[in-house]
Amino acid sequence: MFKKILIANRGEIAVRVIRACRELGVQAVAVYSEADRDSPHVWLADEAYPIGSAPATESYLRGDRLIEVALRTGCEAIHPGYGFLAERPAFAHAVESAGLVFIGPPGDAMAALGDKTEARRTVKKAGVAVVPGIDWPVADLDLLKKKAEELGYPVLVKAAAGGGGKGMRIVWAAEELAAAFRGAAHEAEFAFGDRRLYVEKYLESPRHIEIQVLADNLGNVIHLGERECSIQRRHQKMIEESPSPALTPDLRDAMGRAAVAAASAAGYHNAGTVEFLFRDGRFYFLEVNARIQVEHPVTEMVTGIDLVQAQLRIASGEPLWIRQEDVRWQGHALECRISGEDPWNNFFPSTGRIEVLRVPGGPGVRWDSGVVQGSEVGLHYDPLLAKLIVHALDRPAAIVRMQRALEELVIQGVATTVPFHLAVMDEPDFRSGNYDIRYVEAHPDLLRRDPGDLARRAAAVAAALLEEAARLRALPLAPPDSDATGREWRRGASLTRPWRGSWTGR
Amino acid sequence: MKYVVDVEGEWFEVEFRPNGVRVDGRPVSVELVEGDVRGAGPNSGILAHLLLDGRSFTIAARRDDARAVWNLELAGRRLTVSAYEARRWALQGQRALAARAAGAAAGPFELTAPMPGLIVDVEVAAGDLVRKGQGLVIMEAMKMENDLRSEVEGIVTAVRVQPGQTVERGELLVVIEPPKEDGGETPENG
Repeated sequence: MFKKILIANRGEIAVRVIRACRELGVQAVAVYSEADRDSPHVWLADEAYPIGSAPATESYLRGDRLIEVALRTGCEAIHPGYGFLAERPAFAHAVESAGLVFIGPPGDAMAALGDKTEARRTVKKAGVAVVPGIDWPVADLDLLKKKAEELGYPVLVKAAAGGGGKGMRIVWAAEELAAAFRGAAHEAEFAFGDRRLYVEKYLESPRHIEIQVLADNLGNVIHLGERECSIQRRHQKMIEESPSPALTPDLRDAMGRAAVAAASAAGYHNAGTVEFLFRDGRFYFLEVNARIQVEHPVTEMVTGIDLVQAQLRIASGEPLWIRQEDVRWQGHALECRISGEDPWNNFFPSTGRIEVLRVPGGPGVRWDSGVVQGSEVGLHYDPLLAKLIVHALDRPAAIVRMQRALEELVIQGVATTVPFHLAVMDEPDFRSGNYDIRYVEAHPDLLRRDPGDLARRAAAVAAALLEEAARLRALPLAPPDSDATGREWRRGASLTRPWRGSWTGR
Repeated sequence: MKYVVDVEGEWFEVEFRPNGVRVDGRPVSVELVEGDVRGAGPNSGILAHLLLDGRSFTIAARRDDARAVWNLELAGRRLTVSAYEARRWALQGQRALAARAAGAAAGPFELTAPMPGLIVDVEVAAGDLVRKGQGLVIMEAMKMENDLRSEVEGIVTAVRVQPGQTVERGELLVVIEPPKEDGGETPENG
């Protein structure tokens, strides 16, 4: 095992990797941008070094600086987390040629899979079904148009270097293609530095189901079952669960074997995810995510296998210590992504200071977070603040547990997706497990739930009290006791301090 | 002091008397604790805890001073609530109601930036006729491009931004005047 590694990331995933390091007795070196000096990943690491200013291009994307810090501090390996440099073959190669270990797949395998069209060619050869589409990227709009017409609309225009929904557009008719082409290329250039696109048939209403694989450096590959990730908004996953309500044991087995075949064909090492679209009992290869994924905890909860520790063990050269037949799945796990996005305002990014944070706890609840009370949430990085994960004996129990955990969670100062998650947990189609990737579109009134008579009454009383308190605050010279109605308001010692009080009556 | 409270169309009377609180004339026991934290950020507010006849509610509250309403969030639900002092209710409340009723029908549609970001493209020019749902401005924020669309049909009367410009949250981008109801000016198609 390594003695010391560098974590080339921030936020909740950096914290997650540090936790794995601690449990394995590995020293963790963090890096931070100017915006992240006062962050949990910096506090929790054994060492931490600045790598530049707030924009990621000046810090977390500066591969040269990351490698320099790793070498200077005596690290043996670099863990890239997800996002940033995690799936950039050039970075993996640079790490390798600096004499360090990249905790992930070999740069060549990553390059082969990162090019989505090459990935399609590779897995097809291994006998895995892919979504109908072209297997080579095109740079020319007219050619793309021709291919789209051959496939028949709707089609999906995708960045060859894509992932995470960036650089991707659904096109319903020929006249929308030019705008989609431009937008996707621009986004792809910005996100991946590569504007090449390809096109595939847009499958309407599939489920998004992915298989976690673990592959050691000796060619042993196993799978750890599926994650159901169909609750998405604009191609961004919001809720994940394992097992999927849609899979039978036979289908799980077949998908698992296809995933293992795909990973083997690509020469994949370390932890990876093979994504499939699933519809009418059939599954189609979508892509391989050559990294640890945001939603990895649901697999950890049902298998009991620590995936980040597994990444470190594999990268340090250890052969796989689990055989496929030893993998056991127990119970049901759910994850809700708590993002700084305002569900009441079209999920637009929300910024500010987390003024109050009350984290849920109790049986079967896990909180993987990159923020604490007092953290500043800005616009420089991904809006994911934390992940709330629950584990229970079965799906209904997991849903109820998630519901109560979300009710315990209080975040004040930044608008978050918590109300969305609460609404989904209460919604009949989700509860029955009968949903696909169009779930969010198909439930536009999700957030317009009737609060009930009690809550409306409480809201009326609270608003009147708050209005009255505001009115009293606006009377700086009048002692509160002199006001006929404010007789029992208690006020802080100083008028300049924040007001705090209570009204007790009856 | 008596308040007339509008909870999204349902009305309550909340009265504070020296001997207690009444809701719609009936005495209730009430205890509200306001949190200490009161930041100045765009999403700051008050975190309060209310005991109403012993029932427990954690409430996040933000006052929208411009509209004189409270946005309350409790149990994952959001409620827009107006509390009027009863003696002023006749004037304030009626006016607010009238404005709300009128607002639905008339007035220009003003597209404002929903967040800070970079204007990538402006898809319309002054004088253009736009459909409801038509894209007006493409804005980039958080590495994603967002297509900001018109909520009304009408004529573009002002474009306040150009590509390459960075904007703050709430900044006015485009103004659209809905077609007049009575005149024969509404063109059939764009």
